[in-house]
Amino acid sequence: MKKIPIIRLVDVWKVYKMGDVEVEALRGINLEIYPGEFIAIQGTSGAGKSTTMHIIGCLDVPTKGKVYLDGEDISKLNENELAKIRGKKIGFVFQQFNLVPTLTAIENVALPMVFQKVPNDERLERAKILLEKVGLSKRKKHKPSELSGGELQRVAIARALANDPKLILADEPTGNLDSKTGKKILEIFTKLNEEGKTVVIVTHDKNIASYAKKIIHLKDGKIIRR
Amino acid sequence: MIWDYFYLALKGVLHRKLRSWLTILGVLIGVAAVVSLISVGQGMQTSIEKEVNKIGADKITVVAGSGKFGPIAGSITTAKLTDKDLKVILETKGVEKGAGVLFRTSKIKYGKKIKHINVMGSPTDESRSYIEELPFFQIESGRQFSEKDKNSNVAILGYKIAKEKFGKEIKVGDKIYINDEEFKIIGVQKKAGTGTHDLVVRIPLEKARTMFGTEEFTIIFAKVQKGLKPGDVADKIKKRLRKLRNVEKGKEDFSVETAEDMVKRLTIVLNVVQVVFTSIAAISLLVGCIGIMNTMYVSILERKREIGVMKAIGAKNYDVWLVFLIESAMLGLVGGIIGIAFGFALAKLAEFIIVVEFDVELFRIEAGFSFILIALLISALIGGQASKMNPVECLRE
Ligand SMILES: Nc1ncnc2c1ncn2[C@@H]1O[C@H](COP(=O)(O)OP(=O)(O)OP(=O)(O)O)[C@@H](O)[C@H]1O
Ligand SMILES: [Mg+2]
Repeated sequence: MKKIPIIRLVDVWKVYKMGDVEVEALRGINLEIYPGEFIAIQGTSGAGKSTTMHIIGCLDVPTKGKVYLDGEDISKLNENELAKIRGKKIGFVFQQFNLVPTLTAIENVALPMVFQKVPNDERLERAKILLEKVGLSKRKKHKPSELSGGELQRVAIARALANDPKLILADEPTGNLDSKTGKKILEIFTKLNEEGKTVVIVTHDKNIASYAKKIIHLKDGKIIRR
Repeated sequence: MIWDYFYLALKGVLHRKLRSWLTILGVLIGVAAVVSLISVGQGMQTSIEKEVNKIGADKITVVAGSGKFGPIAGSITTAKLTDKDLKVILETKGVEKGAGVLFRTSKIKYGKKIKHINVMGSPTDESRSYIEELPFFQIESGRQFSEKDKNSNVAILGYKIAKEKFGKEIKVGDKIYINDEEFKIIGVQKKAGTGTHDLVVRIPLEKARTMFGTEEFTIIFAKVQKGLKPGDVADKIKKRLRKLRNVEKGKEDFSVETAEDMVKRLTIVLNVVQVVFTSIAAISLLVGCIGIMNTMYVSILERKREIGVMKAIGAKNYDVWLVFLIESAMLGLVGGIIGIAFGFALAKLAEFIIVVEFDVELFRIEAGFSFILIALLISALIGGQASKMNPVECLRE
């Protein structure tokens, strides 16, 4: 039996218009991501990695081409329908951590559940478990400004797991961390993949990419090697 | 669930404490200005209407001078009204009755206290019936003047003079000193509700004339016979006075005004005051609104990333809209409510300082409430602005 990919990109183009100049960020990307995979998207700066990730994560729509999520075409969905999909099926981790500065660690982790209308008690209970999972149970009540880079990224990973998504997307998750801390973060992703999550990491660093089971090389908006 | 959004918004407001308070302060000043100025303006309007209504539409007032300055014109002109003018006015066809009175500010002493108060020379002859009919000069205790009081040292006190002005109540039978002359109180007036009549000391006209050394009248009042137009009678009086005083039309050294004229004149002045008040209020309100917008736009720009992240983790446009709406509305509401309270207090204070009763009624705060609606509208727009942002662009910042 053939497996259905979580995400399938078919000839995806992304073109930005800057006045008269057109920037072709993506130029015909074909890509399938299957459940349980651990993929690294590797490429130099400006290759189109982030753009690809945003399209995979239903945060952006292609200028041309098709995107299928669980076999369903999402290119015709409106913003709110996409937001719903993101909330349920996808967890994002960013290079700059991007935690809400006004909220504590546990509140940050619980935030995605607010938008899914999960009751408060349930939210905090689950957020607590997730923080324990990333080894931060002692930092629950801390604000982002009181946490180290490694700790922030762990909170961000816990947040990405809040609604138990199938797919975790991480854009340069170790970019702002020293190599030792970065290694610890990558180990968490490996563990998550072993537990059954599908993980996609975006990086320019081949050492980081080597943690993945599969590497996709991107250059000038095209996949040059898989 | 809505509480989650309130919580997020409140965190946002508290995170930028100083900025939030400054914004609230701006709103507060604007709303307080609107509420107090509009209350005072409307209060003045009402009090003028009230006063004129009490005088009655069938009354005509004659003062010396061109009349451009209203009743005070008498004190800054050399032209004078005398018994001759009164006689002509009373003999004019259509005039039912009338009276001439003399006003002078005088030194009044009661006990150890000395105050400067308006003293009115009030007629004791048949003219007095005009005065006694007016609602402002009704007697609460004691009696009005009679023919026999003509040259006696007797006085009738306005309500506030008797009850408040000298710290303790002055009663019928008590003695006061007017310009060092002893006067016996024979009457205390009922509360009139207007400063002019509650803060007056009446003495016999003849006595006043001797005391102030003048034969003139400050004002001559006339009542128009039933069924006649006050304007027509006023015109007749004007014509006759011109003849008596030998002045040409347009160069009168006196002015004849009906109650209607007076309302018109006061309304013009009041309208200017209202326009000024309303402009000041509107400007301060505008500044308050701009304050909210400014604060919220800066906040949105600063928090582009936060908006991007919220969307990335599943927030719908509606969610983002609601958070920013509530955050902005909180600034508007807190500022608005405190502002309404302040404005109300200010209007009450103005009422207290100035004798005129302003009638600050609660419905005047509708100005404050309409601001709150405006603030909500602005908040909705700001929330819309935040919610429409493209998440990818926000995250790229
Ligand atoms: N909003 C935009 N307007 C115009 N050009 C854009 C926009 N977003 C991205 N680009 C361009 O698209 C190309 C791909 O950008 P992308 O962010 O995907 O690169 P990247 O591989 O993630 O690079 P980096 O490693 O620096 O993050 C770049 O040339 C970039 O300048
Ligand atoms: Mg990038």
